[in-house]
Amino acid sequence: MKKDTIKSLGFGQFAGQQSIDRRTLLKVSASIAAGATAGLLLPSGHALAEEPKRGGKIRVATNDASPADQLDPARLNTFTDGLRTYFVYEKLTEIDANGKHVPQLATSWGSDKSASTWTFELRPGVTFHNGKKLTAADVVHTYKRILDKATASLGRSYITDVKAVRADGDSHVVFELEAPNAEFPIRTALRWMGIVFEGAADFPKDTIGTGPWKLQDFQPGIVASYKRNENYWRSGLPYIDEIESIGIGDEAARLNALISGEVDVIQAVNSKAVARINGTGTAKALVASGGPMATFSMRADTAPFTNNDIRTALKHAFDRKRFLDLAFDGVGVIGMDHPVPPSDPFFNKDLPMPKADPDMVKSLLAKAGAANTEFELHTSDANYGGSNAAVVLGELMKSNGAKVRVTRHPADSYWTAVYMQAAWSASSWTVRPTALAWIEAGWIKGAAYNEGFWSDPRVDQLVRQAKQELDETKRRKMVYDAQEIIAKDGSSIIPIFVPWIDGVNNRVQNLKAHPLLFCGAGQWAEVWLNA
Amino acid sequence: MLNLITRRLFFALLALFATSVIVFAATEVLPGDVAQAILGQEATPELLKSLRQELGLNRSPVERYFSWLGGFVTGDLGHSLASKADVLQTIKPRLANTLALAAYAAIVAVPLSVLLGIICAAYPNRLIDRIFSVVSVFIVSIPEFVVGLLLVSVFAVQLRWFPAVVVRLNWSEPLSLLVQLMLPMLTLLCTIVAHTVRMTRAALLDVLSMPYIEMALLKGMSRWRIILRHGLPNAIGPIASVVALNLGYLVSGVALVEVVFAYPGLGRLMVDSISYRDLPLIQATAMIMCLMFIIFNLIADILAVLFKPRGASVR
Amino acid sequence: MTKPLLEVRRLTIEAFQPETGWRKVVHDVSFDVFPGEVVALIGESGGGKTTIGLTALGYVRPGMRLAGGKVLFNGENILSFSQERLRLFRGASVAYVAQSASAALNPSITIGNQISEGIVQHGLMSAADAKRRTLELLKALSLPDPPHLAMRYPQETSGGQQQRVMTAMSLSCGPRLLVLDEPTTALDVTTQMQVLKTIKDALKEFDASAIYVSHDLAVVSQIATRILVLRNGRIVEAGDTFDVLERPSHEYTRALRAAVRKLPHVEDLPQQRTVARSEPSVSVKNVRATYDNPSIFRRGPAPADVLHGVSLDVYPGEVLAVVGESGSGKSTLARVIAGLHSAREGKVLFRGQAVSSRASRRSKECLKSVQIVFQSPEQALNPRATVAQAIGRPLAFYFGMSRSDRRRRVEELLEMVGIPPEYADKYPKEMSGGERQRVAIARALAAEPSVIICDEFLSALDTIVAAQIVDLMKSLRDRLGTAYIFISHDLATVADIADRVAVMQHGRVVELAAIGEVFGARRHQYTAELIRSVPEMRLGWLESALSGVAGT
Repeated sequence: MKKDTIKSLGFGQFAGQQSIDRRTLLKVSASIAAGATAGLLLPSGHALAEEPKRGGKIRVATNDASPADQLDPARLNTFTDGLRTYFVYEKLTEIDANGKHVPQLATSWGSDKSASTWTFELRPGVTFHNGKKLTAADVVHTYKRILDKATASLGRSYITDVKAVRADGDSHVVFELEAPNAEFPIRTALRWMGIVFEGAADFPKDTIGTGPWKLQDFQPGIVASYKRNENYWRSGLPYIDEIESIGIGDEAARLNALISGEVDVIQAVNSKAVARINGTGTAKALVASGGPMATFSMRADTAPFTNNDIRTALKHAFDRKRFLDLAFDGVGVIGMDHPVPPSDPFFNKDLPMPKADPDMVKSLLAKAGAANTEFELHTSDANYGGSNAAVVLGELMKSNGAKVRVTRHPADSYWTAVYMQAAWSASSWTVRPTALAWIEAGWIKGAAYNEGFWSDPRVDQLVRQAKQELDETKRRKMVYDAQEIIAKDGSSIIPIFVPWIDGVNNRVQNLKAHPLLFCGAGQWAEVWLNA
Repeated sequence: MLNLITRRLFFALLALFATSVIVFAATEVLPGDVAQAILGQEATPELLKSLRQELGLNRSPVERYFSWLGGFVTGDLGHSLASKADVLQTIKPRLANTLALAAYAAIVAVPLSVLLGIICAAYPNRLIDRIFSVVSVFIVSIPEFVVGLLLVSVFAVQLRWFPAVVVRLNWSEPLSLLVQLMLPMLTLLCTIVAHTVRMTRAALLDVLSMPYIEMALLKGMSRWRIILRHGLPNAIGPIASVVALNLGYLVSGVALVEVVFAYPGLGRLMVDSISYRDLPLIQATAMIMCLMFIIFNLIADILAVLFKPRGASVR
Repeated sequence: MTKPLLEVRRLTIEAFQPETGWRKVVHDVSFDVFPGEVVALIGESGGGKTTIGLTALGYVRPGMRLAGGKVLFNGENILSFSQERLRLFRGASVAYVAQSASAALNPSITIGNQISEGIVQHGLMSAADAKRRTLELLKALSLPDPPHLAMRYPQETSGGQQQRVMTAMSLSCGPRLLVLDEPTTALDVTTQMQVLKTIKDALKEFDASAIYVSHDLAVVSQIATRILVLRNGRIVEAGDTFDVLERPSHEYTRALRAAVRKLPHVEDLPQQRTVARSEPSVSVKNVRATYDNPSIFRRGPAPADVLHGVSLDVYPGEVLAVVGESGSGKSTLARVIAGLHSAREGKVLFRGQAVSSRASRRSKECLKSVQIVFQSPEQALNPRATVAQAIGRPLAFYFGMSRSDRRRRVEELLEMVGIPPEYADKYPKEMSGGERQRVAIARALAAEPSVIICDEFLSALDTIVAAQIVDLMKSLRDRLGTAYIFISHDLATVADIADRVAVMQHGRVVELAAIGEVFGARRHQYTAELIRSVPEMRLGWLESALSGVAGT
């Protein structure tokens, strides 16, 4: 959560995890690989209506640009850094635009029964941009770099449970974990896990990956350009010859650049810009189905929010659709007071959306003896939607019988002076890769950002079990249950997930919104340009 | 006279020193922990600790100030916290871009505004003068980024004559570079022309109220001869110093314009660095901007002394 | 009878005042100027003299407008000329000589070019011929070394030379009529006498008529053939010079005549006051001063010392006059005492204590004890400050008075200098020159100084106003016991007010004595010349005085 710079990447879902020994592993994975390859080569739906074209250049304007721009995947920092590395590097696995966990440089993977030793088999015939063949040694080097504290990789925190990583021959890599983790393979799809060649350490000089484009020119804070990788392992791809990514920090300037046709894609615009972009006729807004999360958490250890009747009353004191329309121009995904977004494969589809219910608010508050209590909600412009979102929420709650006063604070000191200190405060979260990762980040005992100061032994237990459970159906059930408990008893009001919004010129074809990052997470190999 | 210039130089140095203290102090009190800002949310306590160590944040501010100042004086601007790159090397190309844009604007703006100022002074309170004063009040009262956005929406978005953003400067083709930089140049132009014209007009009108101008009129000199031969030479001093002042503004006030056009100059570098709390970069860019402002002020002062009307000597 | 050169008929001019709107400043004035005549317009300042004179060039100053009447030159109404016709007319047919040559000559054009441009721009001669003509003109106006002078800038020459240069400039296109606007007022007496003579000769030589604007009846009597006396924009008396001088019919003319200060004979001097010689308020010991080069563009040799070892004392309650022609070092001495200019050598003592030669290094007490009043209150008073603010500043600075105390004291001081207290909220431009000078005195008095330096502070005022201010000074001297250093070239006033006189020439004090001695028999040769140069209101004085000078 919080602040502006870094956010972790998430993933949708697992592909199959089988508990297998080495031989069965290879068998199963072969079938997965076949299916995945077919999916990759056959664009779905409307994309079939037109024949993809080779050639052309895409200019993309990113929102972050600074001398700190990174091309070292281990050390990448901003969303823009993430986007940039997607053009050059690939990972063992990937999450596709539908949230599906798919193979990339690994063709298959599997674990021992305890889910604590994971083996990945590498795709044969992949070469780096410098002509070097991809081997297990490259993967081991990549992961050792990330795990080395001196690298200061922000990705390290996602794989601290890796005890050892080693090559098993040229084409297999083995990860030994300290504790079982059924979700471990998904973590290899995180953006920090881009595979660099063995010995790579000096960036941007060593910006050499296996990805669809090669880095051609890089001026930190200004521009980076990429040329087609003619030896890309996915034959015939990419369609685009050249990508130029330029930094335009000012949103209005980015919009102007898109509308005037000087760039083809712009990263990160406000929900207010959606109508304007769609109104041009030459470009469309690309809105993802998931994204970062806005929360309004009450401290369950502080009166009056120790009483779940009061928390429940407030959860039912506003209409979520109205809130979305008023505070976020109707662009976003409604949340259910638990941290799992509807785009996540483990999202509990059976839970009802809390409805505005003045009678219920009245009776619950009366029951709690808080009919006349005024609840103070703290916020600042550091939050998604600015402090305006909290003001809208407060007004809606007032109209439904809950007395709410909104207090605004300076954005600069909000996270240090107000957040997790005031009894009820607004907060903003970046994305997490999986439902379990979301829950672990703030809704179990001892979580770093347990902003509701709330935990439930049942949830803690469910999370522990799920991490060891290799059976997806069983695991889904556990995650479903945890969501239900959090929604019912938890102390966070989670009304919305804020989507990634980009602007894309109409001549750019087949660029699909991605639930976990701007600009389709840079998965542009199958994007082409209409003349 | 030399004495006077020495004194101005001394005060300029003093101002520079004061600026360095202010710049350093201001960046010190920037909200937020630097290490936290660099590492972002994923920062772990041990990462934070080692980064603080690396940045020298555990030394006292006074100690850090003097080692920074010492570095600045000897040309060692340190290394960027975020990218580890040498600050001087990072700044050089950006400074060149900013100076190029500022020079372009100045080359167009100075003759234009002096000419307009002369025309306004030649016809004070007549139609042309009134039109210009209304227009200039209008322009002056709009922030430059709004001027920039207006220009972009007309000339880039609607008419598509000029680019809306300038990212790669096309140095190899000077002519197309001029077209490329047109909108940022015009935006900067708007910010200084209005002021320069008004000050030129005022300086010239001041001179035109002198008795020797009435004398020239009564000698039967024509309007333009009076303005150009009798008035202008005596107004050069104030005009030159207004121009120098505005050039200082041009260089230091360029930041917002650069942001609007994503122009890879010093101003945008500073804005970008601020969002990363990249202290060495912020301090260096701020100091260079102040330095240039002070230099142009100094030039303005010296011009004012040099061109002091000869009759104004003390007697 | 010959036809008149210039006919002014029922001329009426209005001026715009912010409070009152358009108001008549010249009422229905008619007069003629015949060829060969010098017609003097005389009267106090603000009487409309210059305004009338300028209409002869078809010019009405900004802020004024013609409300009626005609000005005919050779029978043509010049007020109806087109712009271009007027431009060609100005300078060529009628030319103007302004009051202050130092202000009316362009500081960035050489003297030669300023004179020759008129000839060239009127298309009368080629540039080369114009240059030759310029040198002839400079020679005709008795200017030394014309080729060299032509290459210099106006400010590199003396006040007397500047005035001659401007006269030469006015004659350059051979005009039939000159409008001379107080051409000698800013000059000191010895120079005035010579310039006056040069002008008189030049008019004869170039066969030009003139309108001579002045407030000084004595000066006018030396050059005018006819005199028109103006008051509040109306002609109150007109006649031949002799008649007006000897048989003035209007009361105002008589007042003007009475205000002309005659040099007193020794026996007529006011009774010598006895001033107690205690410790001097100010002592100057052997002061030398020079001016450093003010501009790198300045040409010419490095300037020599302007003060060569000057020493004098001023005692409490005393009025010490410092007289001498311009350039004699009077004003520099005043500036050295006030700390506005550094002495190269020597020292200045206040009540026996040596003080720094720079005001910025003097103590507050020290600054307070010496105040200076300048010749031009326009320059000394900030145009954007009200009277109360101007006088209030020293009150706040030296005494730390509160706002309400300041206001009370400002009104007291204004009353002391004879200004109504309601003037406190006026701005300098809303007052007359005499009023402004009174305000400047009040501001000096505000500091309660022991010495006030008055630097030519009456010379910009007309005689009647100047006489009133002298009376004010006397009464202040008697009431407050303040000492004055009275710098002036006006010997008549000096004789009226001073206790002692220091006569300066070429940066030295050539005579320092009690007033009675200076005006008595025992005097330095230079003092005698100064005294002889004071104009007397009789026909032929100029010629006889000049022959006297020539004889010495």
